[in-house]
Amino acid sequence: MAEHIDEWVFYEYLDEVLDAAAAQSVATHLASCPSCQEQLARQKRLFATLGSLPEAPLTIDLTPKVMGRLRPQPKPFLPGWWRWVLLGEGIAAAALLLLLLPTIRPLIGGVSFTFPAAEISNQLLRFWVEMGSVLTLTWPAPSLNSAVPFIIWAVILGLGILVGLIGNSLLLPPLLRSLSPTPHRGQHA
Amino acid sequence: MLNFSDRELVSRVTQGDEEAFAWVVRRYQGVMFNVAYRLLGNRREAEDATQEAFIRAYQAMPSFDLTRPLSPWLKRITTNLCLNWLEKERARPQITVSELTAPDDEVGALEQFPAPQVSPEQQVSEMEQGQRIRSALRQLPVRYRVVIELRHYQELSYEEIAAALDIPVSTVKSDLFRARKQLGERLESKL
Ligand SMILES: [Zn+2]
Repeated sequence: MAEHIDEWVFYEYLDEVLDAAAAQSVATHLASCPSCQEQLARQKRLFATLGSLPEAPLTIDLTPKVMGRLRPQPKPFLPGWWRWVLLGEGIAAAALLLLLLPTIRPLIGGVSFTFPAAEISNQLLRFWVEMGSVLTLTWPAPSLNSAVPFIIWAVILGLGILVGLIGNSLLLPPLLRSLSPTPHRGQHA
Repeated sequence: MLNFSDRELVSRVTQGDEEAFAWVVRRYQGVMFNVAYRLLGNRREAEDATQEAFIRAYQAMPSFDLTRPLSPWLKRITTNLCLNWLEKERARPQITVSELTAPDDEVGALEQFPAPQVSPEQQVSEMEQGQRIRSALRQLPVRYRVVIELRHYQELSYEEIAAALDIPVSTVKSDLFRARKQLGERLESKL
């Protein structure tokens, strides 16, 4: 009698992955070997046992939970970090104001300097007011400190615009996003 | 949408129809739960894993090949997820073996859904048999448990298992052999 068949060969025999010749030789040996028949029967029993495992019933419906997780909670009006941007802007503005205080103080104090643009707007206002009524109004001309060169004012103005733009470009996109309806899928794609 | 084919549902999902995905969940939650339950051996964890697997499936659905069947794909996602969980669990030292192998409330759950036209005695014996098998599966090392799941319950070929786990076919064969040998030893005495 030929040698007994290895256990692993039986598994492959049961998995039907042996080629025809190998399968035939297993079958031939089995026909005359009770010991290998018993071995194969044991392995078949194991397969049957595994196959007999009943499907466990799901006792709850997971659909609401899954769908709830697909639809994220609506985002707050502004993201959390917007506070920090605002705070930063506030601090920058305060710092700027403090720096400029020596310059601004004389303006409030009333040292008069007529800025051309201010003079024009002043004239226009006076014109319209006088045209519109019999009242004559005296409009105090806004004044800027003549001691501060124009270039400094230009730099301050530029910096102000820059801070404003940066701040708003950080703040506006999330603001606009939160206002416009966005499809849910975008967040999962 | 109850009568929609899987393909119709998936193509609706990819077009942004969430209700279609709800039907996918209704249709496959049982199947995916059972994959997770066999692998994790714990109902609660299996329910959590099923949910998580559906979220992953939803995210991956735009890349799903509509010419292929949905069920094996969903099972594969569930299997991979459970495998990740089990590997993470193994890496956590505070989880003890007894916790991992502790049987859960299967008896109670089965009692709520008795199989129709089966005698009470048969039900009890099926329940006991089921518990024996689950317990034996739980005691297998994770890598053996996974090949048993893929071969015996998802009916993948050696090559498909090798591809799914990214391991050589020879490793699939040797893992399957050892897994079956261990299961045989544990179950044979109780058969
Ligand atoms: Zn023999």
